[in-house]
Amino acid sequence: MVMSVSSADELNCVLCHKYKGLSRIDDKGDFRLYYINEQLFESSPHSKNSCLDCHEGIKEVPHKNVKEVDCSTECHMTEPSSDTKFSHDSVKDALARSVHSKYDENGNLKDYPEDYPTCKDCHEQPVYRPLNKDVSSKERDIARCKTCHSSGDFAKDMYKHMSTRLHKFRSPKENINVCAKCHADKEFNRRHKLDDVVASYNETFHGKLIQLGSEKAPDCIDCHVVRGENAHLIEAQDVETSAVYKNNKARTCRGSGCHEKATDNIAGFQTHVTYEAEKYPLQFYMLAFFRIVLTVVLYAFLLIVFLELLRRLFPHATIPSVIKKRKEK
Amino acid sequence: MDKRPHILVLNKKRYFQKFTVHQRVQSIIQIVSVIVLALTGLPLRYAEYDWAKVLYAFFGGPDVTPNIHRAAGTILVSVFIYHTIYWMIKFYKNHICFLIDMKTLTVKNIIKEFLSQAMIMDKDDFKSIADHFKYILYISNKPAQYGRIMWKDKFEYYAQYWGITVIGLAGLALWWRDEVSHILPGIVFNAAYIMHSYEALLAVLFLFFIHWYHEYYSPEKFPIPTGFFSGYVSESQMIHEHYARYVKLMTEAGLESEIKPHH
Ligand code: HEC
Ligand code: HEC
Ligand code: HEC
Ligand code: HEC
Ligand code: HEC
Ligand code: HEC
Repeated sequence: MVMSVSSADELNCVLCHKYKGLSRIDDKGDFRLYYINEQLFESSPHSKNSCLDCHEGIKEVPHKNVKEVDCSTECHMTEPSSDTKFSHDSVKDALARSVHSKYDENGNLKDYPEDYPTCKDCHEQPVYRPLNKDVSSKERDIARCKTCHSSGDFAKDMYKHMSTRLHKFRSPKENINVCAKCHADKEFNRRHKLDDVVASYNETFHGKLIQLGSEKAPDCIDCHVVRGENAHLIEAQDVETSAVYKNNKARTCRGSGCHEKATDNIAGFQTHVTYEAEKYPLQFYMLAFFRIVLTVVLYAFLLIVFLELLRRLFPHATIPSVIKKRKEK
Repeated sequence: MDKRPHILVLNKKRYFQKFTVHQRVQSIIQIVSVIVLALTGLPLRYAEYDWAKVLYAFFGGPDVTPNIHRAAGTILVSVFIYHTIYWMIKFYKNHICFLIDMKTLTVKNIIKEFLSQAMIMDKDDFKSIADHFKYILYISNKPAQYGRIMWKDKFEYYAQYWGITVIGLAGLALWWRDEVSHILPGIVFNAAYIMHSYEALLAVLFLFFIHWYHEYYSPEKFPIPTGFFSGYVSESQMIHEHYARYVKLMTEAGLESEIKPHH
């Protein structure tokens, strides 16, 4: 395992960076950890990259002119289907066309540009999430590939490469947490005049099923990306090509084998209900009605139960008997 | 159809029949399905809590639990429909046919017959409610006297009809959402969601705190609720809750001399 990291690694970066204590407090007073967990790195999609693919320009120790990693740099790999040098340019391009670009159509910086996500806001060092969590059956699957791809780790690597993409590459819960970093933040929502869409989503059956471990119920991406489009092309609801534009909503609901038999009416369902009276009057008044009924019925009957118990506990304190006693005196 | 005696004597103690076998089979199916519904439904409402995740996983997780919930719901609603149809047939046989025979079949008479049904609130019930409140508020010393079915039972009976209708219709809409979208607008699912979730919460809380208190935890019943399992209730419970019927049954059995006073 250590072998494969260092083989892609001319300056033997891991030699130093495998030490857990490698850290310091930087000029801004932030704690910086320079330790690389080899096992995590090995189980990541980037394990085939050399450190220098991403950390360009580190040529000596101590390192000089360390640059921030740019996710769209070309790495030293060729993508087999097109035989071109691989990079994440297409993702960068999709992100630039999405609502998450910090530039507007005219190329001007939007308000609060620092609020717009970059690759690293949504992606921490990713790790493979194999489709098959069960190790023994995973090994059986890989053995099947090995019938033909017998040399080296090719079969294992490619198995991981493909099987992790047969479902969401990270769990829906994690996807939601990524969006929640910004979209559940009160200050953020106030700045951008958005509702707390994460709280409202968590209130729906979709959100609840995800919290209970479902992989099938839709997370944010399933509804906000047009089917077949790049996951990064999220658009505002008033953009005509958006997955949640009023004319496209029903198609989105019917996508991915979800509400296949539904008519356009299904799009009338509201996902991000905040129960504000002006925006969601029906929900507001229904909630109020049911809350009142619930409170009144329960408290009325609890009061009766309480009085009955009291009556049983102090049977002789009735008004007639008290009056009678007074008279006798 | 039930040939069992109204009064049963066991170990020199008297027990009074409250429910027939037929009624008890219905209530057992009902209780089991309601408990299953609550156990598979509450975790969804409280999905953010750890206990909900454990409970949901116990029933098979997000792929299985919803089906258990739907099955239990179907059974519960079926029992209610059965109960209603059974009652309607009985009502037709015993009352409408009678009116037809007497050639007095008018809307007014049907309503009159309907209002004389055992489960309908009548004058006596309002009187016993008033008596009961006077009693528990220490205004009078005389506890209210009840026939076979007391007003609380009747209230709960109506509450069940209301609850099952609201929860059942909303549940059906959420279950058959794609089909329902052919006839109703999508906002219906938002409404159904609120109806289902809140009415179900009310039902569960009412059942647990109020209904089960009356049936199981209240002092004269704790710890063994005889009525539910055997269909018979003890003499003291009978006196406490259904004094008027107690007197009637004792008199019918020729035991007037042994009638105990109301406590
Ligand atoms: C001889 C040991 C050694 C080797 C080999 C080494 N590093 Fe480092 N690296 C360090 C130390 C020590 C630090 C912390 C420097 C500091 O305190 O500023 C560091 C810091 C870094 C940082 C953070 C720099 C910053 O200022 O943010 C990066 C990125 C890094 N190394 C990448 C690499 C890469 C990539 C390689 C292989 C090409 C590599 N290192 C090889 C010792 C090493
Ligand atoms: C796929 C690209 C990629 C590869 C491959 C990669 N890194 Fe990184 N690394 C990053 C990114 C992104 C960060 C986050 C900091 C940044 O944006 O500069 C980072 C951060 C670090 C840091 C901490 C820097 C800091 O400022 O906190 C160290 C140390 C580091 N990498 C070392 C390595 C070593 C050693 C290897 C090879 C085993 C390696 N990296 C391989 C992309 C990569
Ligand atoms: C708004 C958050 C967000 C930003 C910003 C973002 N991504 Fe993503 N990215 C996602 C999500 C969510 C997915 C997963 C889509 C899915 O589950 O189908 C994803 C998927 C990917 C994938 C596919 C991963 C795989 O293994 O299948 C790549 C590659 C990727 N992103 C790269 C990037 C790069 C490069 C950038 C910066 C240019 C970037 N992302 C910016 C949210 C983001
Ligand atoms: C019956 C033999 C056989 C089995 C089993 C097999 N492969 Fe292959 N694989 C091949 C052949 C032959 C090629 C080249 C085919 C071509 O180029 O059209 C290939 C090509 C590939 C490639 C493309 C390589 C490239 O650089 O173009 C990948 C990736 C791959 N296989 C992965 C797998 C995985 C993962 C498994 C197991 C799930 C697997 N294979 C099972 C015979 C097999
Ligand atoms: C780093 C912060 C950040 C993260 C993380 C983030 N967003 Fe955003 N998002 C924004 C900003 C900023 C806007 C633009 C708000 C505005 O228009 O003022 C936005 C807008 C949106 C909009 C358009 C709202 C509209 O006006 O219709 C959608 C949809 C959206 N984000 C979905 C997501 C999803 C899904 C994720 C998770 C994959 C996500 N966002 C992650 C910052 C973020
Ligand atoms: C079931 C589909 C669905 C899911 C899941 C979903 N959304 Fe939405 N979202 C919509 C629709 C449809 C709209 C358009 C407004 C509306 O109809 O309520 C919307 C609107 C938005 C907006 C704009 C809200 C505003 O105030 O203008 C944001 C931001 C957003 N969604 C983010 C998210 C995030 C983040 C998640 C995941 C936590 C998410 N959505 C999950 C369907 C969905």
